[in-house]
Amino acid sequence: MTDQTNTFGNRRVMAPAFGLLIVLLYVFLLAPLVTIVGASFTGGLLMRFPPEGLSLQWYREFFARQDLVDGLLMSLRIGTVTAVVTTAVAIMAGLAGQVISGRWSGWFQIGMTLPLLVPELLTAIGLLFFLYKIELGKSVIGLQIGHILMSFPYAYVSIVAALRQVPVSLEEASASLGASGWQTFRLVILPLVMPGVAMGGIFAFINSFDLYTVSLLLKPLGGNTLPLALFDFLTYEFKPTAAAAATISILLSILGVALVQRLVGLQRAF
Amino acid sequence: MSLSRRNFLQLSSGAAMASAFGLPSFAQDGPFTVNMFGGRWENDWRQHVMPRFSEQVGRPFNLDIGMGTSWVANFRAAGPENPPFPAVMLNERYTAMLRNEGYFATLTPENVPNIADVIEPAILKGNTGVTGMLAPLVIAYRTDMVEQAPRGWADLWDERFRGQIGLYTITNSAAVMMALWAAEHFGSGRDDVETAVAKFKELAPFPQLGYSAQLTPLMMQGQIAVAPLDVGEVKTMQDQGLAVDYVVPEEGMLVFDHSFSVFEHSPDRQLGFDYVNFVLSPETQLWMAENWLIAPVNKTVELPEDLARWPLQPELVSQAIRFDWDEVLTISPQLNDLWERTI
Repeated sequence: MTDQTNTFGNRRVMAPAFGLLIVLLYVFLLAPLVTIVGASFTGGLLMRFPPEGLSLQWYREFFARQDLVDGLLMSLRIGTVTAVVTTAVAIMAGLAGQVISGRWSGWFQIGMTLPLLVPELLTAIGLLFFLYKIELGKSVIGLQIGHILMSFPYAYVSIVAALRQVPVSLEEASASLGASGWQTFRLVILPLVMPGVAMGGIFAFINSFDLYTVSLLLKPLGGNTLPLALFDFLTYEFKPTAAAAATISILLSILGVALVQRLVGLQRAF
Repeated sequence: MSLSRRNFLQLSSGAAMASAFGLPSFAQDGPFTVNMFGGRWENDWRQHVMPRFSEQVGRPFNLDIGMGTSWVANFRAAGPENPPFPAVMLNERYTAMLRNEGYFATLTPENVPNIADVIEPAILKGNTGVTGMLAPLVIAYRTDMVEQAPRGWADLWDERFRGQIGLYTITNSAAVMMALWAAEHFGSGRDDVETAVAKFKELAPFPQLGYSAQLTPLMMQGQIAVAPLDVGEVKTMQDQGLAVDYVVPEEGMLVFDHSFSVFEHSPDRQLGFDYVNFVLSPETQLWMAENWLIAPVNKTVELPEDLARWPLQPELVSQAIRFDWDEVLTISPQLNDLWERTI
């Protein structure tokens, strides 16, 4: 093999081809975002890209619409609680998973990620009947339970990956120096897995913020999440206000990623 | 201020606790709840209509925003004995699903006095529901793109409109109604779904949208020139200066009908009757006609002159093509399946 070849063949040919592939991949990923962000600044009456003139009128309309703002606030509230609760529970589940050995370990992992394996609609219908049985149908707590259940695997997978990178010898060293289990967790393990914990929380938040089917069936009386409010809006008023709402959602996601970067650094989280 | 990991954990915990303390504000007692569609329907109902009823009964209110499928799923999960709220507005196709399962109370002039004044077609099977909102569905067309206006539904198959038509997905009741009309008009009867689907296949390819508000932008942009639309959408486009007009099809117009029912076992059943009575009142019916171009079902409503150019008059609405939705529900599975596989 010469300098001009590698596993995939001639480097002179393959390097530009891979470069083009990566560019196309980025275009594929970013084009919808660019389109929706561009359409949100249109000065016209229709959702259109490129925008007809530039205006902030659809952002003004978004914040003037109580249904959309209420939806945004409810999504933020549900998403925040989901992130905090799933993170805490996923840490406990991850620690428990480490002490389960043998074939039960595999079953435990599958059990923890089950909400990802079962179609969302089926989980939502099952939850709907269950919540009415325990008199939590059409309540915020019921919706919150649904979001936590659906978002838990995202936090769990991220946190377990972080826990696996902590050498057992550190725990043993901590114990040999007289630290209690809680002290070992708080002072040794938690700081080391914090990037994974933060990333898991962010994943859980973003997943909760985007959930549609579960929210559709479990939403409380008089309450709507942003995806539901947006769908209603697009059903009856197909205006660029929806693009403004989508852009705000994108900004919130970027804010979440920036938060992880600020707290733990993105490179440590992956 | 720098944001450390410790700050982050503290902030997160604080947010969770604050939310938890906020939960009681969502408790189910207190305000009464009724349902409504989202978007401008919700905003108008919340701002202009419900405050009057709330004042009338002396209780605050909630609006449950959604769509037929999710409401029906919730009512079924809750069971007839435990309805989430006292009265419900549903498209007639969904009302038909629930009425045979013992969910609804019988509506009479004693419990809903205004029902005595509604047009006869508005009273639904077994008096378990009453149509409170009738949105006429007409044929809208771009006057600058169509030389000769269509006269009726059958004209949609005219060669001059080929490639210019927009229609609904079969999940929308408008598509179901049009298919059943086509089955009867071109075939052997309303259950002749093969003929209906074959006829719509002749029009393909055409854009299929879920709701009329999604067809409207296509017509505004000139991507389609002819479409079945409710008159409220036609008015919206005309108000924006678009060259759009409509015809009431000579075979009869279709109607989006939204019926109101009261749950037999709701602890707030009387409030449900009062709400339906309020919806049927001349004041509310007139408000809906003036603001949404919804045809009044209350015969005592006097339409103002500026609404005369819209097909809202009770005598006209009474002649609209209507359907037995119990019958439609038996046809729908085959129709949906064939439509999805063919068009």
